[in-house]
Amino acid sequence: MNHRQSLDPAALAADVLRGNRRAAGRLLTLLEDGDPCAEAALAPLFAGTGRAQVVGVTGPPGAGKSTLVSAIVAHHRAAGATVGVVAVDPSSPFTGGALLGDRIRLGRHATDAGVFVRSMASRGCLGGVALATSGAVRVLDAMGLDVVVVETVGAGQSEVGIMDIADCTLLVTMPSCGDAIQMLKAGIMEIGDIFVVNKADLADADRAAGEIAAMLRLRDGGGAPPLVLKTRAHEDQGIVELVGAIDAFLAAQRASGAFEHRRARQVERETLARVTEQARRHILNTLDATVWNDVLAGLRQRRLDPIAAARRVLAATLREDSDSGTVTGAKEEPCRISG
Amino acid sequence: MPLRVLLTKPTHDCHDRGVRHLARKLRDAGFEVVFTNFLLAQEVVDAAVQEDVDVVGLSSSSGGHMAAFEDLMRGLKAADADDIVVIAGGVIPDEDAKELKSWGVRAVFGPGSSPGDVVTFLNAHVKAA
Amino acid sequence: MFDPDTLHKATQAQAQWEADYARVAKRFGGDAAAPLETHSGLPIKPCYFPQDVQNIPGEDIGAPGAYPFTRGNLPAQYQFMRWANQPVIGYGLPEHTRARMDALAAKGMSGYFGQKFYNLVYDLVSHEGLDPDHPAARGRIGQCGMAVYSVRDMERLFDGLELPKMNVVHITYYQVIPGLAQYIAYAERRGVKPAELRGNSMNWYHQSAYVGMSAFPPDQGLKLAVELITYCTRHMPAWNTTNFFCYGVEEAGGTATQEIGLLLAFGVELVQACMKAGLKADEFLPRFGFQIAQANDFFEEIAKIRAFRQVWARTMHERFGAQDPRSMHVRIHTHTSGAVLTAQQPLVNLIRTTIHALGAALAGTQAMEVSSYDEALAIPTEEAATLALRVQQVIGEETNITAVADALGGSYYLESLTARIGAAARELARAVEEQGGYIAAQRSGWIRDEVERSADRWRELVSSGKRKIVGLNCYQTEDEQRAPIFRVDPQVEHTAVERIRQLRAQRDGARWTEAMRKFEEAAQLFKHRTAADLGAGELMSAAIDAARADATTGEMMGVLKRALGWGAPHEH
Repeated sequence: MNHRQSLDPAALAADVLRGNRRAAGRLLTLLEDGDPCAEAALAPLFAGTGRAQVVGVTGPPGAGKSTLVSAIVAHHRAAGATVGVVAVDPSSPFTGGALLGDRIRLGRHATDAGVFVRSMASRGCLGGVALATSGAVRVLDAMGLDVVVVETVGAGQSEVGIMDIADCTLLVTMPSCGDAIQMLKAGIMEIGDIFVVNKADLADADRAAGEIAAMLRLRDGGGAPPLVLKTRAHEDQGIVELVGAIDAFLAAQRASGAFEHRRARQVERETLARVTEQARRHILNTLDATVWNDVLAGLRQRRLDPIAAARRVLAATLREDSDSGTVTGAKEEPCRISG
Repeated sequence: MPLRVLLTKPTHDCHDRGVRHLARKLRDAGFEVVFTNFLLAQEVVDAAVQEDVDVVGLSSSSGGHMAAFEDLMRGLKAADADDIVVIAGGVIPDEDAKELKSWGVRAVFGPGSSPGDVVTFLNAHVKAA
Repeated sequence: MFDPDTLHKATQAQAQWEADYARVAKRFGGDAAAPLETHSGLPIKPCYFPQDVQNIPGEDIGAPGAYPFTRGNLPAQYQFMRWANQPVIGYGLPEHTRARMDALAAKGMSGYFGQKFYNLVYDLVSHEGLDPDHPAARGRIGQCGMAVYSVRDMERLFDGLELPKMNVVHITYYQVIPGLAQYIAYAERRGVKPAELRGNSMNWYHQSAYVGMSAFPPDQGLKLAVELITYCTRHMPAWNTTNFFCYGVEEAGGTATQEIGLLLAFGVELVQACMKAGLKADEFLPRFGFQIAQANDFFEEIAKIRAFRQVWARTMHERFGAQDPRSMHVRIHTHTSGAVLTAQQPLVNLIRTTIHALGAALAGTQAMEVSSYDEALAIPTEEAATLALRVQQVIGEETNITAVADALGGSYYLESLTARIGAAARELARAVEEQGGYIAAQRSGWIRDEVERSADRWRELVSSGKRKIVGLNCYQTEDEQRAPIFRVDPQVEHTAVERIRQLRAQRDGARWTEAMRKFEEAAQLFKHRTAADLGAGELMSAAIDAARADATTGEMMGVLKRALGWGAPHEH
């Protein structure tokens, strides 16, 4: 049962640019699967992207992120803007499956033609935000949506990845029985442009906000620290202020040139990541089974250490390229591109 | 690549322990499961299109399933999405199950079936792209 | 409880018994020490002795009718008045339901003091808060309940019956207030004042804690419940305001402890809110009712009920200062478990429900709703409904268990289990309170996760065969007996839609517009109020006015949904 075969990439791209949802849905799947057709379809789309405002929403589980996203979507819809949501949930490391349960919490937008919601599994990607997610954002952008919200579960440093996609990242927490700061480990705090204490009707909301603000003042060298806002997303409270803060943040970024710089760096990092990914795929695809089995035997017998083993794999795969005359030997110098 | 499945039930259904359990079992079997509920069958069509799923599983335990499936099958066809495999679950009498199958519903999993039955069926009859 | 000499002898007897038991076990090739459990997973032993109840304070057990009411609410159990027969009725058009009401009354169904008792369930369409001409109503009109959406429908349902002489239970989901408002408006047209009305509202908005249906936000739901309680306390003294839906926990897969522990926690929060609204405990507690499941584990279910009476009474008295014994009573409406019935060999369900009903009677229930044997397939046929009634009649008339109150009281096993379940339920309620209360625990998904864990455990036990279900995983038969499936006439849909259209065309448009505007206003104000602001019943009054103007269930629920919010119940 293969309903995605024999798709014409150019036609697919054209349909997406026209706002066709079936085409967008299909393209999103192809991107997730790393299908070459997807890559062909993405090329004509790229020129038409860059218009959408991309907002990242991350934070520890339990903070009510999905409800907050739903409220943000409602706000934008009331203002006449169209919205896309990419909701990322973790894949099981053991089975490869995933339970994608964010869509149900966006149910109030179920019949709204101005909202497009796509659930994605992280598929084992470190950082929880796969390359496919940036591709997904691009597709929704190309469809003509005004705002794209990316929601991921933040459970630690692995959520740094969302910085690579969003123009503005919200870090969402909630007041809790313990210390609010406990939920924000070092590293994840670095990535928030705006901090949100949701479920602010619960006790200790002010204290939680205060603690975060205090930590943020210590964090930055100079300049104004990020805003800390309180919301009660389930009551649609605090949303107007939040969206206002996002807009103000982006306006300031644009004015200072930081916006363009950030996007440039994002696209740079994405490209590097894709270089690594494509190189990895290429190497694994061209690797000879005999060579690999030899290497494995060597590792098991402890004749070969992993570093030497990797060198051998590279040498074997790159040797084939050098037969064609192109010089593609591995360089010993460290990579000069700053990360 | 993992199979993508949309599992859904009507918003008024007061028994969702079965379908939530099935969702977890499908995840354990390696599927990516989008779980949602619906008031109108058109919502299921829209979700299936946005999520581009391989399978839609609609579970109903409080009646009204014939109308829901009728709207679903019609809606998927109109959305150029009738290549998506549709399966049914919940409390569905045998006579209704026969009619559902004549409409294109590929399988009906009644009260006695287990998540394992669903997994077996999907693995045998549905291939991801 | 026992003197040292008795205890000593009993301890010796137990030691001897253990040795004898081990010998028997060995002869059968079994393990004397093999763990035994209740269906909830509480560890139990093959036999109980006096020493197992030695430390239970005497007053915990006491006497029927004495605080803390472990043995029963009243001194007499069934000697003078049986439990009430309360089968659920409701399907198709109002006139179809009325026909079933009349038929069952003729077969001997009766309530307290021989009064008529009608347990009426509304259909799926009105449960969802819709009218029959809504696109989502198709295929659901008159299904699983009666197609009643307006005062005019109530006329078709109740005309000719004497309202002050009957009890009407309005089994709704969240369309509680529209349902009650319409009943009050209907009664008014019959010249009957609200104070003369007898019956029940569900007033239960928190099924969504463990089942994923769309609902009002839980904090709004709590306020809606308080609003109805304050209104009825002032204007409808014979009305039972709230039905604690413990049964829903069991149906969702919860254990006996969860069923009563979670509802205890909810009760605490509701009582606190009512008191914030200015009511005193004794003013409203006597009008609470409890719908409790009776499932398979015979003794655990009986212990559960005795335990619940005890912990509820203690909590209401010690924590909230209730003085009136009726404030402390758990008035039980038993719903025998539907979850443990099978689609396979459906007639076997008759056997199961008989055992459930027996357990409920031994536990001292006030009213019973026995599931019909075809419950797993569709709503009951008349034959199945009649048999469900006969189950109760046989138990009540032929077994002689009605002669003795709390006949199982004093059983070492039962008293030990009662004490343990009571302690476990209190512990669970405390855990909920630690999270900020029931509403907070609902919103975080904690309650759902707890219940789901139990549901998963049950499922694993059944699929592994460790929990036997006759006909399902043992003693299966090849050719299934096909029980006749009850089908609603599709003409019902057409008629219901026609009627609602006629109603809209014929009612006083100006009056309706004005009443709806005021109702909308009241709902918007209500949204921002806290429990402390409630008590004047403004929302209820506006709802009744709207009902007088022939507002439909869908129209009124639409106002409430828009004002208060409506959607997925958990925030993650």
